[in-house]
Amino acid sequence: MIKDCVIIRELPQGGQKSVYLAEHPQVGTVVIKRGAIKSFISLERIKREVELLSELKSEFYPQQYHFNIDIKTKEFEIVEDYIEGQVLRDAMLLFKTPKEIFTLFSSLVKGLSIIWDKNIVHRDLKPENIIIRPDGMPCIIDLGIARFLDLESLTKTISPMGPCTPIYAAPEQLSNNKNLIDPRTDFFGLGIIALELYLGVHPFDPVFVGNNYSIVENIMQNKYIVETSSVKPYDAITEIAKKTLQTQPYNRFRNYRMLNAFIANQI
Amino acid sequence: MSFLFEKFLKANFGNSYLKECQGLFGVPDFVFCAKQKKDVSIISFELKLKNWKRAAKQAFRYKSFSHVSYVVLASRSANAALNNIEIFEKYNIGLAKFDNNSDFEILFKPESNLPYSENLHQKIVESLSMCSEKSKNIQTLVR
Amino acid sequence: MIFSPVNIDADKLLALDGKLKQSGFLDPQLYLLNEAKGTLDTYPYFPGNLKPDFTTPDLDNSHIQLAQLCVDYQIMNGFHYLVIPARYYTDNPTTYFAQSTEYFVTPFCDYVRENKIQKKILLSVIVKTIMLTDEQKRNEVLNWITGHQDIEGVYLIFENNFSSKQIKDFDYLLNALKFIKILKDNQMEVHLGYNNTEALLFSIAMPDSVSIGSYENLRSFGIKRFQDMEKSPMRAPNARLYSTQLLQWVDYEYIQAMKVLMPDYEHYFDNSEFKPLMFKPEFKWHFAKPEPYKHYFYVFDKQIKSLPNIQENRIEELKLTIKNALKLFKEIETKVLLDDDSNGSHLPTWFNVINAFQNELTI
Repeated sequence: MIKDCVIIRELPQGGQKSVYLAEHPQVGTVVIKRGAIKSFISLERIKREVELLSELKSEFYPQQYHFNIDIKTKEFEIVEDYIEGQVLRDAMLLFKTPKEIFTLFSSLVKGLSIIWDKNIVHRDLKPENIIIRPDGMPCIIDLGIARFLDLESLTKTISPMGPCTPIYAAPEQLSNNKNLIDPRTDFFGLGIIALELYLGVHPFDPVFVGNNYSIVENIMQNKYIVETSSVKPYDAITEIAKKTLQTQPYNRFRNYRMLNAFIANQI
Repeated sequence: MSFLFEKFLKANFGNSYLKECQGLFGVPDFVFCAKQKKDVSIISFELKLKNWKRAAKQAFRYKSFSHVSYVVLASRSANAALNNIEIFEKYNIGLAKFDNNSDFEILFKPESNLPYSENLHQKIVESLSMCSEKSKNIQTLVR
Repeated sequence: MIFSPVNIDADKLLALDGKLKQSGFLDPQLYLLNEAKGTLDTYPYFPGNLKPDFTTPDLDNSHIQLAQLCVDYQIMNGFHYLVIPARYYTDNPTTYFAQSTEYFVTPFCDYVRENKIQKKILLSVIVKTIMLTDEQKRNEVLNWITGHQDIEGVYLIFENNFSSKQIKDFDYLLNALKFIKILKDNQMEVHLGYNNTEALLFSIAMPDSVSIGSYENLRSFGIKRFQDMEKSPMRAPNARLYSTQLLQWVDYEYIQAMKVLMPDYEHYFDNSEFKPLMFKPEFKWHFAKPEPYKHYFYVFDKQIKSLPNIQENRIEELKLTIKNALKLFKEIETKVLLDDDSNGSHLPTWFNVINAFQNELTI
């Protein structure tokens, strides 16, 4: 598959992986991602998840054409559809009101429930990993990547903005508590995104929380804001934050059905 | 304390007693039987070094089968009980102190009451079949 | 009804009227792998039936078969719920939850799913005291329970190692209430097992059911019941009678004392068809007599069923009941000096626990 692709240009991702925009004669515009696997998760499990992901056929995920892991060289290679649209990071202003946020989340949860049902956790939900298509529907990218990188590597990932810290990670990810990682881990990330969309700033940002810690430290200490000097708190947003941004998973929504029920109530 | 008290009991009241009798209501340290003509009096003793409250509760239990029930405290801890003498008066439980010189002093002398459980009373009377008229001085323990 | 294998032969249970079983469930009692006291080993899922001297390493090979036998037996009985067994340790090893998932939860749920069995599943959980008092251990067990998506709820057993007959530990009781609440907040069904009078207290956390134990050792969970204790002689317990007004079991010898010392003593105890007989002078009180137990079932069942459905109201009513019980104990203790296993010494703590829990609810 890769042989037939014609590279158009490199996309700035850097760090642990190289990403190219390419053209395939039959399929059209694709994205090629290559990188090293640095993970303590067993390769067996990665293979299982890779197989499940390559079977995914949903408008919420880019169609995958090629997904390979070389166990010997410990490298991965993915070819998937190029998705037209804006990264959520660049489209935050489209989702400012609670109604817009909950409508987006309704779709996001619908898409994520497909992998949650297969017992797969995304682990790396953030505005950079969500593409908003021209029709407003979200598409979740980089699903496969996070599982190949352990936390150390994730922190070394360079983005166009500079070195990345896992500022959308749940406490159990930051403390590397692997047995606690389940779909509720993703709920935490969603909670941060919801608040960030509403407030316009990262809810754990020390500048707004009012302390000298880092975002990551504030996540660990569960210190976040639900309002700013220019944005008043909104009950349902505060409520969803309360039910997702809990240090202990058992204090969050137990499953996506409960999360969905809450969101549906708000729309 | 128990050893000395047993000696004291034998010397002053006679041999008609049982030690740590099981199968009643609680386990009395000593149960004494006194016979005067056809009347049998059962007197129970609960010995304690210091926990007077616990002793009182146990001694109350013995009233199920005894006419008289006593708490016997080590002399050095008797003050705490004395400060709460009204409890002994209220429930008609005897209070006495006993020291290593075998000095026995009654601090509250109870009245004799009918045992609350006819059943248990019968049981202990049967166990104390060797209850004899050779017991002495029992009247000094009862008001 | 919760059915207790240690008390009934597997075949006898199977032969029981389906009507009795269809709204209840089985307490698998697979607490100890290699000890099957009494009628326990008549149950097909008991490991001794697969292999004598069954030990932990054998679970590696047999856990799927064990799970299937356990499910099959419960299906045959037509119970309302299927219950996943829990293993007991004096001190749980660090691998306890991982092992429980691998050896019990997963094979059990997989078998149910693969065979499209349409029954709700409850997970047995033995909550050890340390899980209530140690934050880390509490988080561990709660995250474990709530992480299982195939189960409807839990069959919750609070281990009781207290020497007193009623529980008087403030922290234990308050943490138990919070524990139940967290599971209810997770929209899980909570069915409490092995309860005594504290079932009334626990009811304010709104569990789905509480149990009324037929014998004293089914009103408090202790592993000794399931172990062969040849060495220690069994001491017969004293006969006691439960009073819904006093929220306490009173030793019958104290009732005799009350009879002599208080003219209206009968009023402190509930009316039932069994009461007249029990209060006759010739009634030979003995722990093996059925009347006190039947009386308990009847009056305690009524007491539980009369609890208000709304949490606020339930809490207020229980507080009133406790206040009233304290008043009645004061009356009794003008004449009778009750010991700590027959008096109301547990009630002030329970009252404080209720207030503390109420504060939690308003946060």
